[in-house]
Amino acid sequence: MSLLQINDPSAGPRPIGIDLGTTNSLVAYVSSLGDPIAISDCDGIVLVPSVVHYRGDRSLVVGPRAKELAVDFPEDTIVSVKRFMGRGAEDPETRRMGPYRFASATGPVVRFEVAGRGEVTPVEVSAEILRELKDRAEDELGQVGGAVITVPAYFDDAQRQATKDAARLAGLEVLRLLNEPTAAALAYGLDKKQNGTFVVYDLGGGTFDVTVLVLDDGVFQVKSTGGDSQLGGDDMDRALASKILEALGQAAPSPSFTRYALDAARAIKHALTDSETVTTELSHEGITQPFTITRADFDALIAPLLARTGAACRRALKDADVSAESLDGVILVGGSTRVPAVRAFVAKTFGREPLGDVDPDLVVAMGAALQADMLAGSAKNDVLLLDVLPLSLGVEAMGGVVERILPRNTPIPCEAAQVFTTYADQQTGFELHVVQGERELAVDCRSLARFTLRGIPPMAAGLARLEVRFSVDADGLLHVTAKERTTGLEQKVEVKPSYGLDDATIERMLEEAYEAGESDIEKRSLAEQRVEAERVILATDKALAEDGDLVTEDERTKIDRALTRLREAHAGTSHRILASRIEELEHATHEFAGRRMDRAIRGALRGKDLGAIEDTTKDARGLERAHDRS
Amino acid sequence: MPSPFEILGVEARFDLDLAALEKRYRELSREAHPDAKRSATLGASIDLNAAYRALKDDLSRGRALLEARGVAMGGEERENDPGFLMEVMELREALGDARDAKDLGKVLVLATRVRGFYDASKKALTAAFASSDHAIAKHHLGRLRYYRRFLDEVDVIQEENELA
Ligand SMILES: Nc1ncnc2c1ncn2[C@@H]1O[C@H](COP(=O)(O)OP(=O)(O)OP(=O)(O)O)[C@@H](O)[C@H]1O
Ligand SMILES: [Mg+2]
Repeated sequence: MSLLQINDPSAGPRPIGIDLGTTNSLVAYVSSLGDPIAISDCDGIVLVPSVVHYRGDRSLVVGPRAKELAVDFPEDTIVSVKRFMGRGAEDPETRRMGPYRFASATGPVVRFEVAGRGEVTPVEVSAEILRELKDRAEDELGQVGGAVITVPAYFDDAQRQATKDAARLAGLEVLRLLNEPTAAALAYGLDKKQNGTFVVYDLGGGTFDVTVLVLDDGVFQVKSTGGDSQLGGDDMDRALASKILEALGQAAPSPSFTRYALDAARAIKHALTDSETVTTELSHEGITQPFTITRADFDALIAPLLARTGAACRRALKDADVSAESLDGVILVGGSTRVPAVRAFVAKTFGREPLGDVDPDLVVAMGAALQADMLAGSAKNDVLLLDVLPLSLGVEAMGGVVERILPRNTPIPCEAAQVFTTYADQQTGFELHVVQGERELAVDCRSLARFTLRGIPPMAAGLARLEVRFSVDADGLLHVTAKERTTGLEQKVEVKPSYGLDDATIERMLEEAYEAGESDIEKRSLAEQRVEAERVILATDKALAEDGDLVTEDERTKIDRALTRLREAHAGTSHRILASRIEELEHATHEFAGRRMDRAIRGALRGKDLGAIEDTTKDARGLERAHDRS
Repeated sequence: MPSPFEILGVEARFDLDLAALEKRYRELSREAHPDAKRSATLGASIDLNAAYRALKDDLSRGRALLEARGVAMGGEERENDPGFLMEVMELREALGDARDAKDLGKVLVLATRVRGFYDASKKALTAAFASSDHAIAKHHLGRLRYYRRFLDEVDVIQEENELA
């Protein structure tokens, strides 16, 4: 956010595009000149970590601060919530490595137990992230209009519905749920003005999508899509974290060790993107252990994950009836495509080097902003997106097999009707089980809804004609209506009950949120200031312990006083006092921070171990960064 | 209800130029899709999508063409020729055995053979439609359906194998 930004109040609400990612989220809009612009915070940072930290006083913290708190509060800090969207309590994801307390072992919705709230659902957690993004957008733009929110192309109906619910809960008007690869292609295609057949390979923190699409003079036609909504950088982290826990001798790790191992794994993974070998010291809760890993070791760990993406790529090409040779380009999206093994794998799979001129972090949000702009009617581009249904829709037939009603990769919006009949004399009710997925048996597919059509007039078996109509809208969401054809009796069925939140629950939550209104904002800033205070106190204590010799006596007195005053304010309830005390302490440590930085850099030049320098400079910068803001 | 050929404004024939069809679909979407034209209805877009999907695929295009020519299908097309049925049964059995034995090489050999049969039947189907020999067209549509199912199973096996 720049101070010179001039907001034209007469411009009215501005549509926004949101990339709600597993690891990082961001919000973008289209400027009056027609360019997509990602909104950054006061530090110029665009990506908001998709992390929500819950505190005992019912307040919460979202984004970068929450991410820092995850190590100390692993159970109350929800990371990668997107992997749980639209999932039941028994979902495999709940059994994978992670530090959470799940509220129940069964039920249609995953629930986390967190401080201050009791239970929260993934929809509620996501809503907090969306609220944060909306706040940021409002800071920048004044008024925010409708939003296009991106979802993985391979998200099923339950996951899409959950995303839409989260947006509603955050008070956002959803203009469209847009598939992430399609959004990326839109931003890329509009920028480059190139026609042809492209593949988007999107490997993010939590999800994988592959989409084949044709760009033809402003029409973006998706031909096929495939993927896995539980496959991403998180799984690489887990694979590596197992090795780390092993090295630390943690067979049954505590939540804190789990969080530590996952964070360490990610840091090492990132380092392996630039170096062939990483040597570091693992250290947590008094246990330390040197650890070395080569890129080749890491590549072997993630090979099975890449193989899964390869299978999806080949299927997508086949479904699109396109050969790898006839492609005009491969677009890489998502942070995990920075991993050298991923790039090499993609190059091998498609027989060509991927395009190098795409920003894998921003392109999805940019596309969402462009689509929002078009849907809000202010677009300057003559563009149309044609997308498809990612997973087949069907009903469970006799014997538990799936009868397919709409196959995957059907262009949307679409509709199909199927006629069923009664199998017993005088049967007045008929049960339907709607499922989504490619497997032959209904139990192996995603259950979307079970409902009973009632009030069928009593007739002999096989006479009633029940017409069930499935429609999929442009968001990829399913609607079902049923009709008895001999009598014309019609029923509209909401495909929702077998998962997620029903409308009444959402209304109630919205009301609660509204009532909480103002006091929530106060609470939130208090919580944020407290976290900031804790961070600054910790950084200062650590700095004094390590480099205490760099402070003069006079400085030391001032710093100690500021520390005491800040601790007092931290126990109080005024976020304003807290903010000014933080500033006081930052002022008192300003010169000290500068000297520490110098020492760290001199240390670096003397060729200390690389990781150690990064740590020290990061600490020193921790103090520095606080000053930038004051 | 207009036929898919009418909706897409293309000649009602079996051997359509699919690339041209696709282009036509995109052009018409600019008129039919509510995102592109405010006056367009969701229904128009749904109909266009359905028509495009029907014509893109050999089997459904064949059915649509029979219907457009006023030939009753009478339920799903079936090929009742005993020799053919026997052959298909043997092929499927061989495929099942290869699947159980995880013999991918064998699966691929069978797939190549069936793809050959598919192409031959498709050729015959094209000729039958060209000479308006609808009884023969129906036979070949039935065959395509069996071959298609066989090839779908091959896809499933291939994916199984890839992930194993
Ligand atoms: N330099 C790097 N080397 C390796 N991995 C990286 C690098 N930079 C980012 N990543 C990984 O990329 C992932 C985050 O990517 P991204 O921000 O695109 O995901 P996301 O959009 O939040 O997730 P999704 O799209 O799956 O919902 C993380 O797993 C992160 O560790
Ligand atoms: Mg992403």
